[in-house]
Amino acid sequence: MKSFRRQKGPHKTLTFPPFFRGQGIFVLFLVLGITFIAISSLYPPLAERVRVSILDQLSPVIQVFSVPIQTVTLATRDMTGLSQMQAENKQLRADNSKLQKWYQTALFLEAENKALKDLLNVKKEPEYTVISSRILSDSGSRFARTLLLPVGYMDGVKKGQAVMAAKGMVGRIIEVGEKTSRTLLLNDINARIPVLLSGTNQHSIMTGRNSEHPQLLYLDEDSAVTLGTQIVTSGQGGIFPAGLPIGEVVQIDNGGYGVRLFSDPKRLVFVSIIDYPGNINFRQIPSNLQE
Amino acid sequence: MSAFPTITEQISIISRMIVPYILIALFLVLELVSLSFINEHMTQLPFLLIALFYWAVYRPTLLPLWLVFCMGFLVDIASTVPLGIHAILFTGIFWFIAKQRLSLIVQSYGVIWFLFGTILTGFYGIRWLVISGLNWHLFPLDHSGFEIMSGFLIFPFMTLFLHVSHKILPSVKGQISMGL
Repeated sequence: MKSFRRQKGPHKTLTFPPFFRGQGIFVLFLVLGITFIAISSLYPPLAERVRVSILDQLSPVIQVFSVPIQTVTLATRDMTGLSQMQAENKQLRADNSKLQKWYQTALFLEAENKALKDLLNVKKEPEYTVISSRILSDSGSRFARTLLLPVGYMDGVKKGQAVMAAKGMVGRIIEVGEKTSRTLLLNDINARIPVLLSGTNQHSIMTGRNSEHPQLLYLDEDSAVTLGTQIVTSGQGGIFPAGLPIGEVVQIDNGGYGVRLFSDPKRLVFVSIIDYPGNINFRQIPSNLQE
Repeated sequence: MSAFPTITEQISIISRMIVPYILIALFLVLELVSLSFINEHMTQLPFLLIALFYWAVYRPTLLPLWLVFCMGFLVDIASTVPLGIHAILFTGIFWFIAKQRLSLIVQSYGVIWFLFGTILTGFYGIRWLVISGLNWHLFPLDHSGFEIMSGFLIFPFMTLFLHVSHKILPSVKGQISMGL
């Protein structure tokens, strides 16, 4: 058997297995890898099916490791950010007292709204349910901003559903497996959703840039955009319910307008998936107006 | 002494052989469970690349190429990049280093560490080029230096664990240990 030999050093003989002698096996794997790249670029649905089926099998293992890592991370963050927490706590107390007043106003407005809708025979909005989940892992790379969730179609998750964090929307479901699903975050380069600038009724498309602030596209050139204006989902296209809070308008580095998301995608532990029945923007004609 | 190992010896050998694989599996899971929530820059630490580099230099027979390819494929699955990118890069790096190991094993640890830094930079650079090319979009390179530096700095700590698992392994003809 031919072998590579070295005469000096503590071990006199080095024997390479046949595996490393030829370049054939490496070329074989190179071709296989290029084939995978071609398939996942040309037939994304096939690659998606492969991903979700393998992740379904791997999710229990990933979950075992992700929970302690998240716990340690949060504990570390809490310890290192004590002064930040104190300031945040003070702010939250102030916000809470304001919200108590708003809560009373909201109750009154809700009752009034219901009475007016009954009077006009407006079809009721379907009630949404939420599926809450811990984050299994995130892509954590500069190329993709996604989250892996340990809930799949067995739990009622469907492709296209909006994913919310505590303060606002953070993404949408793009892949669904039996027990796992993947969320495309709003700041990913492939994320594009129709939004509305609250108070101005101005529509725009919000697109991710793989950076902190997504950008607002197709704004009217002559329109005045005020920094700090709240951005919500427009509901156009029927993909998401209208009015989900997203963020507020900020100026971005390229001179355009961007969005500071209300919920920072880098600091998520739990998310809620909005499960809505049917087309949420569809209104049936009231029976008294039908022929 | 008998030519054939007893059952106790066989169990001992098998259990010692398993340790490095458990450690590699742990590194793989750490790679899959991104630690981006630890830092602000979405940095992914190259745990698996460190393990592959180490074993490619000090004991390449431990990892057959198909296993390296499969580990890269799993990273592709979890990280949503086009399937095959990490598989090719990991296999290529492992094969290349294993081919050069005769000249590497006689080098000092500092040289090996520096070489890892070079390989790591090349790995990030090629990955960035390929993914940017496939997406027709130049992804921002901000924090790349931080990412490479983090990977470079954790190398000695991670190789300590690998070195311990290497020491546990039953010795075979051709084994070279790390010069620590």
